Amino acid sequence: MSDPIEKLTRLGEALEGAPMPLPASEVRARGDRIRRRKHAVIAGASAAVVAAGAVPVVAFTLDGSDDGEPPVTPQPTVTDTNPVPSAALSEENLLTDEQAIYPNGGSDWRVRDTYPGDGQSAFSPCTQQSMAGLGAEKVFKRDFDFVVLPSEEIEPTVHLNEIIAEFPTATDAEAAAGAIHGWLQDCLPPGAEEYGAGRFTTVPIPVDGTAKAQVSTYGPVDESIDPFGDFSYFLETGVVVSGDRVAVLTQIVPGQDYNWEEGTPVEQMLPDAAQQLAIGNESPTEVEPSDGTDWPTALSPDFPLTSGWPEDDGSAEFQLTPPSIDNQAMIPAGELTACDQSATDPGSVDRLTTRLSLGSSAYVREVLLFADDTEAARFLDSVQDVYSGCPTDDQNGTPPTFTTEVGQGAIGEESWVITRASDGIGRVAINVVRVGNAVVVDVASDEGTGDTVMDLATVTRENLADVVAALNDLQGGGSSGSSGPDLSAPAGVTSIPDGFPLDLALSEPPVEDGETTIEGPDADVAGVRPQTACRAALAMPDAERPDAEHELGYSVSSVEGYEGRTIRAYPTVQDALDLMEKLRTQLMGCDRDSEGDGLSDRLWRTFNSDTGYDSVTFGYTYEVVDNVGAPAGQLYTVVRVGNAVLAVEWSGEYSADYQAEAAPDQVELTRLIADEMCVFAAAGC
Amino acid sequence: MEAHEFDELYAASFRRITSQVYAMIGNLDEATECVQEAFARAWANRRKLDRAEYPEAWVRTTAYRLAVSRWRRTRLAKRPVDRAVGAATETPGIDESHVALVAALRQLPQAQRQALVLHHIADLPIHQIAAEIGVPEGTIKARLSRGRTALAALLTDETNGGLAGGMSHV
Repeated sequence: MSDPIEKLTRLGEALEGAPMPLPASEVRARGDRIRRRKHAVIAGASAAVVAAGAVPVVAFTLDGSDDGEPPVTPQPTVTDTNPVPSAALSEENLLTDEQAIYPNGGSDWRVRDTYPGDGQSAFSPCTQQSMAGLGAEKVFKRDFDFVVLPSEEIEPTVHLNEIIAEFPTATDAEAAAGAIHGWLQDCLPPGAEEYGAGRFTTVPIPVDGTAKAQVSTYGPVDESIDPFGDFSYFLETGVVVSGDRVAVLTQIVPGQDYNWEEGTPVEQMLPDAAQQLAIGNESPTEVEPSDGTDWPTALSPDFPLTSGWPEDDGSAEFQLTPPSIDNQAMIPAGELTACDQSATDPGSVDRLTTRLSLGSSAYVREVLLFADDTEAARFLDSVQDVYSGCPTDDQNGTPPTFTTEVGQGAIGEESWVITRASDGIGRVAINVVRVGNAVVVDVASDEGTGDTVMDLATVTRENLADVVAALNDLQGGGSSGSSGPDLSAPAGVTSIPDGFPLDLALSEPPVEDGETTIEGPDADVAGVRPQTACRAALAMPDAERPDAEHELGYSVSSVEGYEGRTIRAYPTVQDALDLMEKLRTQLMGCDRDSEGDGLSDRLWRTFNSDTGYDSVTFGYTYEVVDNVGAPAGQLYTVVRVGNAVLAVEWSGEYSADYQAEAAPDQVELTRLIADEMCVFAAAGC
Repeated sequence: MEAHEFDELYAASFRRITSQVYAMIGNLDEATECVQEAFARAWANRRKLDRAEYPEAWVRTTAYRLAVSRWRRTRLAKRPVDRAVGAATETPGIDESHVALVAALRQLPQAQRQALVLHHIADLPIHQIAAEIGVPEGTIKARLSRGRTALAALLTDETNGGLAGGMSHV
């Protein structure tokens, strides 16, 4: 007989030359469907799927898919439930005939139809969901005809429409715009075989807000338009966000090139679109002065401004400048200056500033008191404006030194989280928090890599807890002292209410079949499985003292991974607090470990966990060594509301990057369930 | 990963991975479907897959896990519709000697079979197999040694009239 190893080696050639069962394009199409499903959220955000035909060249449906899968809604990047006061959106906020231009000198746009709602066709071939599905409360759409001058003939292969939408909050509007940006970055229009996403460029607008334009291409172009295959569709999109409103201009032109020396048509129309959109819209962040309030006017020298910072370990590297009004303030020190702008102090009445240098890390904190809450809010906005104005795209071909992102925070009465990340070494996290007439600014920077800046933001936000509590005390709303609630008193609710929706789904609920097993919700279901970090059992519900009487579990197992959830009610609020503190301590002391099973080290990270409640999101993936590492990990979100703690686990085969991208989805899911946990908080939520 | 890069990876490695997974699980149709599904997932995860992380190894591992998962659920004949990328696959005929070899492989313990396939068909060095499977290198060496011996014995039995043998079955 021949050598079995030789036989074995030849087996690898067994299929050599065999036909491919499916073309790569079909496999990619399947991958696109998987991806959309993974990103689908919130069942019930229905989108009216409308028959194609209203647009002759690019027939597309509102969900942008061909398989009837659920439409996609955006992931809010910030949590903000404060409604924004505004006048009602109307047709008056749309671009007019005169403002809609095609600046080639020989053509123009004319209004064809205007109607309330999302209309009879999707506003873009990349649309994955209607504006209503994104959460808009009011929507108007206007379609334009392309008129060739001077004959006034209508050219049916060129399209322009504008859709405008009003959302409950400015945050919702930003989230919707973010979703639309995402669609445009990763799109395959129906019938297209290729799509090239262009870069978004910032377009200056005359009102508060942002505007971005993008030119993308896709094809092939219909043979009736381009019999020789030389054309592409040029899809130009402009997205304006102003307060709680969004406008999207979508223009589709088939052709061989798309060169505009004076700016593209959409770039030239966006300022007018923004101006129109802002008509009748009040400032979304204006805080009305609270009458009859005795605002604090002085800060105690004992104010715990350095709380949460590293403690003095006796090393020469530890250089602390204790809090004092005599220390240089952050604005004149240039510590709130970026991108040629500086924050402005509208007139603080007291201030404390402190700085700490520790090796390559630098920390600055400042607390300011203003005449009232309106002044404090103005200062907060001023800081936010500085960083919101930083470019996110190339400027004259030069990319920005830092990637700056500004998002609303979830602590204090109002807060912003600002991150600045270099493309290499260097990261900065800035938290700005207002409570009443007081604002604290916290800046931390170090030589961590830019891609981990959210870790820094998470840690610094958590380290601010005592400072924010002190601000609450200062305003007379604190819970410390003898008048506060007794956290060690027996909690009012210590069992899980019947029908608790532990199985809430972000997308359509999973269905049990041969590949998917669903257990619970039931007291006997394990839900989140025990886990260790650095050889210590993590403090999570069910992990230490299983207690069916006060617990509920739920799990979904499938080939794509494992989702587990456990909620447990503790005897007292203090018990739940202790659990969270222990968990945080465990995580802070563990950034890598090994299970001793031959796999590479597990790398532990924490993620932004803006659930609006006391929560932490963390997980691990395997280290990649010599380009090899197990593509697997586990992601957890643990949230406390009153005396109850909910843990959510997602285990699967994924990379570190994918885990980071998926974390906001899990945080959002946890937030939804946590909203149902208010029964465990004595004063509600 | 851009579409053309994916298409190149698919064209270059689909058959190779399929034959490897086929050798590991012994069912060509199932191997073909699992590799297709794994490629679809690779495309779905294209932005997260660092190209330096051996995309081919990722696809192979995913396909193999899918196959094992299906086998565990004894659902080989009732594949859910949404798992299928397209129409039922039509796999080419396999040489008889290959069938015999795969039959012999199937009689090996799963761990030995996997090590043999990854080393001798996928041509991976031992340290990379150890990383891919997640066990120490010494364990891989031992599995390879035992697997070669067992395979030789099985093929000798085959020559002598059959595939009878007392190897444990997975």
